[in-house]
Amino acid sequence: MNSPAHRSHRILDAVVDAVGGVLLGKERQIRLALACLLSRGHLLIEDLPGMGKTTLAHGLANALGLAFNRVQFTSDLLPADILGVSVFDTDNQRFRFHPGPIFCQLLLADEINRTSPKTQSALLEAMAESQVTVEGETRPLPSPFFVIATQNPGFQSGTFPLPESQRDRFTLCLSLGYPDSASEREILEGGDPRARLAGIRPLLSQEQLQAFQDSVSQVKAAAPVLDYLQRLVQFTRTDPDTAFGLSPRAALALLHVARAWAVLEGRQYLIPEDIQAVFPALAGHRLEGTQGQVAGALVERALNSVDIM
Amino acid sequence: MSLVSQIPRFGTLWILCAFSVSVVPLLFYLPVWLWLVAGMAAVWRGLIFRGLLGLPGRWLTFSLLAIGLGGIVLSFGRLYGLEPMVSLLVIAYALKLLEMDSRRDARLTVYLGYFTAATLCIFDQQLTTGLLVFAAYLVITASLAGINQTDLHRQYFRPLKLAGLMTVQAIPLLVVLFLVMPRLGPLWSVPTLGGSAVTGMGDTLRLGAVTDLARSGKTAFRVQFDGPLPARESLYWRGLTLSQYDGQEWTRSSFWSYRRGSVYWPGQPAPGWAEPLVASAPLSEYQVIIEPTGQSWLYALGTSRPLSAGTGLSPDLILFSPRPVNRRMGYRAALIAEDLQLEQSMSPLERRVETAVPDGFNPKTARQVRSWQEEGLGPEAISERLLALFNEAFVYTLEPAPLGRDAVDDFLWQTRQGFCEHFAASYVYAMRLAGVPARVVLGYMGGEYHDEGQYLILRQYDAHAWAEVWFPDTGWVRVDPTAAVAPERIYMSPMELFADDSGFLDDSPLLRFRGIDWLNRLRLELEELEYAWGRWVLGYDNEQTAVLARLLGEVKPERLALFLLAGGLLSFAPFGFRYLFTRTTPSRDPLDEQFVRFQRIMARRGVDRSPGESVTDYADRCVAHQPHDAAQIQAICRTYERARYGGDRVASSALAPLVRSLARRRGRGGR
Repeated sequence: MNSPAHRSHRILDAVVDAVGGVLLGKERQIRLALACLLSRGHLLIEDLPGMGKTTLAHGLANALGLAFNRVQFTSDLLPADILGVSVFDTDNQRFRFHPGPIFCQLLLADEINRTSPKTQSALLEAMAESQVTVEGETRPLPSPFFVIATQNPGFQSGTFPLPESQRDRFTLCLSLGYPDSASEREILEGGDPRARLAGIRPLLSQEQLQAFQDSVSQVKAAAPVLDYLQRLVQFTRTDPDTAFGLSPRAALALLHVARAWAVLEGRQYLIPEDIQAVFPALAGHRLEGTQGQVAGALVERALNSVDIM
Repeated sequence: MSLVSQIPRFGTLWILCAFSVSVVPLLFYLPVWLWLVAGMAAVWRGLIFRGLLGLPGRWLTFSLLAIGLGGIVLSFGRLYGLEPMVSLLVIAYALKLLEMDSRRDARLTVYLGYFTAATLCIFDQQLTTGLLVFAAYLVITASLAGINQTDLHRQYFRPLKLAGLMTVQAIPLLVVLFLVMPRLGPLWSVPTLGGSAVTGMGDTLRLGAVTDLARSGKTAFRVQFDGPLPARESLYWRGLTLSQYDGQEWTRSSFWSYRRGSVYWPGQPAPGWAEPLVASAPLSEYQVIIEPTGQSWLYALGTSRPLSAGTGLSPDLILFSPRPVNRRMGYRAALIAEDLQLEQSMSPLERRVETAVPDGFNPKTARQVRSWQEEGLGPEAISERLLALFNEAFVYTLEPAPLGRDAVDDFLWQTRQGFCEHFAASYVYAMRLAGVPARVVLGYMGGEYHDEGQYLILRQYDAHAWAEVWFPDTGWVRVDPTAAVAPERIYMSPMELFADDSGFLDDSPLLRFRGIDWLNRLRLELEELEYAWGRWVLGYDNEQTAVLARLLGEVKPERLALFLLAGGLLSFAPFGFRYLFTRTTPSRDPLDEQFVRFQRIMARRGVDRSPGESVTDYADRCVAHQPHDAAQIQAICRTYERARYGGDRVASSALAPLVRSLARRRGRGGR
């Protein structure tokens, strides 16, 4: 058992373990975040402050050897503050572009719902195009480019919650949640989390990461699995309790992330379980109940009602 | 035109096939020019199919129809009647084939095909015809399937397979309908024109007619005796008595026309002459299955009394059916005596009829008879003298010399060679000259006995003519003048007698080779089959009431309805079962089927999979519930996933054995 698939599986497992060493008891979320990254998607984390969102982003960046930047979004943040700005260089008598924090490989956009919609849009545009246009000049972003945005739950005051159309740009939406008591005890007993975070060494090269991202599209999706995926998506569209079903873009994203999940599982083909594993994170922030039902309930119902065969 | 109403291309091919199989057998019974019509229509349609020709316009179609109608009137001289109508049907079918443009038209054409093929049964009811119509229906049904399927353009024989399946499924219904449906007699008894399709003897005798029959090996009728078979020399099957002679032709006298009140009908009060017949105990009973003759008289042995309803007996002991025999029919009769048993008295009118001779013919014979009478010879002595003359100087041949105007003179004193009819007619003529009542009888003689089928088969070459003479002290007696000249004709079958004669059996090649053992056996088997077909399928009308009574106890409408319903249910039962069993397995993938089987096994052991439950989750639950089969369960689930989602061929073939082996293991632990 030394196939390429198996080797990659071992490396990715090591990444998960490394990040899991600092973010205790959240293996599933780490895996989903990694799957999202492998599928070249972007991640939204919706949770209360202090739950380990930054730790997750930072840990991933370190373990994957990615250039990491963090932007704290505030209500007075302007697009240029993220994208960069041209400043007149008196030495050369010309404008020189000063790249903003977005020119990195893993951007943590902290508390994205605190900033104005104008700035949010600037970020989202960059996420979708993988390039930014500043002062008429288009500049590509580094590759890989991965955004983890965090958001405080919408009921907190002084926020600009992302509209539905923009939430759709985030492939997955996770919530970390409180740790279980055993993990919490370990956190309390453990040393300085900052030091431990710094101790994570890159486990794979940029080329390897690129190769993993490329291998995702190689995962075989057999007809019965695609049938299942279609049934699942169709269910969200016909379910009377759901206001809007999943879009074709969401369906495509579902397929991609599920494939990435299969790669994490060390499999070269897709099974319905891969879809089931990523479906709640993928559909949760996209579905809305007609009578204000919790999205989680809708997702669960879809998973329980649609037969895998 | 929308795609939905288009005729699929290969559907057209099937329709052409259906057209050929349903029309070609019919064409043999119809005027020759219809071959041209049918062929033209088929070729034209073929050209349309190839895109070389367009559909005919409306006016052209109407003109073609008008020409067809004209042709029918020219051929038949009328439009009403069976053959004209069937011809019209064929023309309409051919034109519809050309007109066919949409799927609706095609469907109509197919239905026309069903109808056209069925008309063949009016012309002929042999087993081979039945099989032919059955095969035609198969092809027509295939064409119906062909025009209704669009996704099978390349699977040319798929419709035939489908049609075969449908036909097999319809068989229970067919059997029940066959048993129960009332027989609509007149429908099948439509008179055919001229009886050209029918071989058999006519109702007149002109010297030279019977010889044609003598060369034919076609079956005339078959007889099955309940008791022992009478001796061959007494197997005279009487068909018709001919009492009227105009110098050229012997015909049936109007004296013997079936007068009301003089005919004996089974089950009705017997007229006076028939009372002794009804009163006497029969020697045996027999059943006759007669091929279509187009005539109304039937054949019976010696003195026989009909038993089947719808068959009458005239006072000269001739069995007849009120309608001409246009299809194969069966009747039963009781044999009273092998010779004739008629009243000895004779009315003056009857005597005049049976002794009438036309004036101005055959002077030489008249002189000779007169000289015998002057010698003082009585009727019996004159008869003996005549037979002795035949025995001395006459030759029996199938190819006699032609006779002139005074046929009897020429035969008796010049050519002196002939066949049974020559002897019979001349003998009767001479006896009448002597004032003795005499008549010619047409019928069949002897027959070939089938050991296996236990029946006697009479062929056209068994046709025979003989005489009946009335003597004052014995009444009517049978005299066979042929026996006097060629006794072997009576004791041997014509088969042996004429084996070397050219032209003999030209129409029955199988009979020629009866020396070859296996061919002979094959021929007998075929005869057997044909006989069974006639007796049990075509002759079912006679048995229907009895069979139904045996099946249902008492024949009541509600029981009949239940019986019909049962037949219908039997036809639909396969669908029902299929529906029941496929409900639980909507997917037809073989791997899914195996997994569903696995699920059923586990469900019996108490673990049901909910729809959204993934294979691994389900496997985990099954293992938790049935830990002793853990390895097996895990293997099945892993194999299923690998095969179904990973496309692993090896795993595909491994799944079924795994599931089977699990099925063999008894679930322990229970629920």
